[in-house]
Amino acid sequence: MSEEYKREHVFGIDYGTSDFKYGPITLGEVPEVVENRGYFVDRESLMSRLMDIRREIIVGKELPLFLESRKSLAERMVYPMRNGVIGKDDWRAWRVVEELTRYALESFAPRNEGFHGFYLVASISMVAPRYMYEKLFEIFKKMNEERTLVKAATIIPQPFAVAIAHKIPTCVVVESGHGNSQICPISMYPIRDAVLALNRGGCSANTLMAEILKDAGYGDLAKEESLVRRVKEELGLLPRELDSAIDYAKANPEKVHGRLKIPGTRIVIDLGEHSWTRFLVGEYVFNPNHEIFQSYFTRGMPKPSDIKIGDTFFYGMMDMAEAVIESVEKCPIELQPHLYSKILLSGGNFGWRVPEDLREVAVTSDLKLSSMLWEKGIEGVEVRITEEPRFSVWRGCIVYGYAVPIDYEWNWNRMEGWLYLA
Amino acid sequence: MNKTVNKLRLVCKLRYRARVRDQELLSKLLPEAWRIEGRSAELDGSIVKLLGLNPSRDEFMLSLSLKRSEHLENLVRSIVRDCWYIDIYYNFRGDDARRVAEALGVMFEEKVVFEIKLFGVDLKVSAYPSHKALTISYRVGWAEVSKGAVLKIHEKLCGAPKSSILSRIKGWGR
Repeated sequence: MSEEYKREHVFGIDYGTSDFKYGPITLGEVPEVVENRGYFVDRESLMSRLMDIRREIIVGKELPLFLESRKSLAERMVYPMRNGVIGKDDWRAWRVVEELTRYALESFAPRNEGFHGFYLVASISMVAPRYMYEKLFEIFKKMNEERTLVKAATIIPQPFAVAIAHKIPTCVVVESGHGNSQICPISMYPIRDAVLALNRGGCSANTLMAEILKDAGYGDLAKEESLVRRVKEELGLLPRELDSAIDYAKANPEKVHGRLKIPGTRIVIDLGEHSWTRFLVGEYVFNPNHEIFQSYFTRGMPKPSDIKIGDTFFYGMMDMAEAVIESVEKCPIELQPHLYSKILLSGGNFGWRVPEDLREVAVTSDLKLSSMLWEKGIEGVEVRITEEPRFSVWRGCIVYGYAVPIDYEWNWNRMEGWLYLA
Repeated sequence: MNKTVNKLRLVCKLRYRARVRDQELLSKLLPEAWRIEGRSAELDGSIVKLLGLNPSRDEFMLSLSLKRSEHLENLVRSIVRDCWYIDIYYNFRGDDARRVAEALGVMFEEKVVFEIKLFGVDLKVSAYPSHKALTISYRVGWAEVSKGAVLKIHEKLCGAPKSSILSRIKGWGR
């Protein structure tokens, strides 16, 4: 097998906490995206038999066509990577991962004779334990049972993929997805001892958005997760400084007025006098310690808690700047200024928009984190949002796959190289 | 061309091993008109980025965002002098994928790989209708580039610029 074959057949998969991004090198800059979830069909039901549904699990774009009641949704829908870590014995989650992987590879595997399998580069959470690597390699091997889909595979941590995509060997990558956020200093390789994880991500902002919708009189809609996410993305704002943003919103209600029509439906969401709360959504991701959030916690909104998954501790309430500082301070002192001078923000949770007429009070994620770090006395900071932050991990997978030579075989000590499976 | 074409990647096989640092490669290969900043370069709104070199440093990958078709021609003509060949990759999504499939006269109903000849060059066309995606790749060396094949293929896939059509009409009138 030649380098040229590999170059044509590098395939990237980013197992994100919410979205599953996949595709071969030939897709250019943008991967295919489906939700990282699977639906276990009730194969005993009469309708399943009548409709001749033979599959145990449905994944991918056609999944919504198989959904049943909300109750069964909770029982049968599995989001395997919600925390970035899958339990060793969580067989349902592993089955979904297997099915999604097959779905991705099958949909791009050519049928011609010249195809001998993809060079698969998968990316998972920085805090994923070793058994996840082992399980994934087992799954990749299973892909070859009917025909060869995976020639060789490798697995890299998501923050490392981001650094590779941007060709920055010394940096801090803050990867914030749906379920959690990972802060990972990198100096040629990820500095594993300094990695810090937050139990906050896009889903935390969704939870707050749902509460805001309830307060604004849309309690019925607040149960629909995808709708809440959409409202958050369209109306949520990240304040430069929360107190002054709220003052501004109250003094200029017409400028901050939040109204959203959901296309294809009759639904119009108008936050009206609650429009100032748009600023809370972004702030909550960066700093949930502001006293204003207490009223939500008191009324029953779950507080992001400190949890331990596997060997990793996920902090619930630590603010984003504090997390970066704590992580960087675990690295050699000589290295610290270099790390602060290149902070890369990646992941869909950093894509806050700034409307033109709200530039005074709303900011992008890079400016927010810079000013939070400055307030804590950190100077010489350069924070950058990656281009298309949702896709930077996938792009890193592709660049990595292109760069790793075919004869560089997987090494469990270094956790790098190609593991040949066919 | 009215809109930016963001669908291109180039993989260039050098005749030698690059001895310069990654950041210096573009300044070595691109014509003077391109404004180079490390790993990326810009010419009147068109942007080229160096994605990486292979480990033996005799091949590199570029991504292109094109404002004008001529910039592709300009770039390829310049780079090919130092290369054995250049592989050019396009990918189209959604309505664009269907339009290009029609323009090439290939089916877009099932996942399939076609090989077709266009302006003397062999094109590999992969159709993924379930993802509404179409990818096209082909290889050119100096011979094909000097015949203008790259620009002709690009205009066939992405549409000819209006000014170019006008100038051709003017040309016919003379």
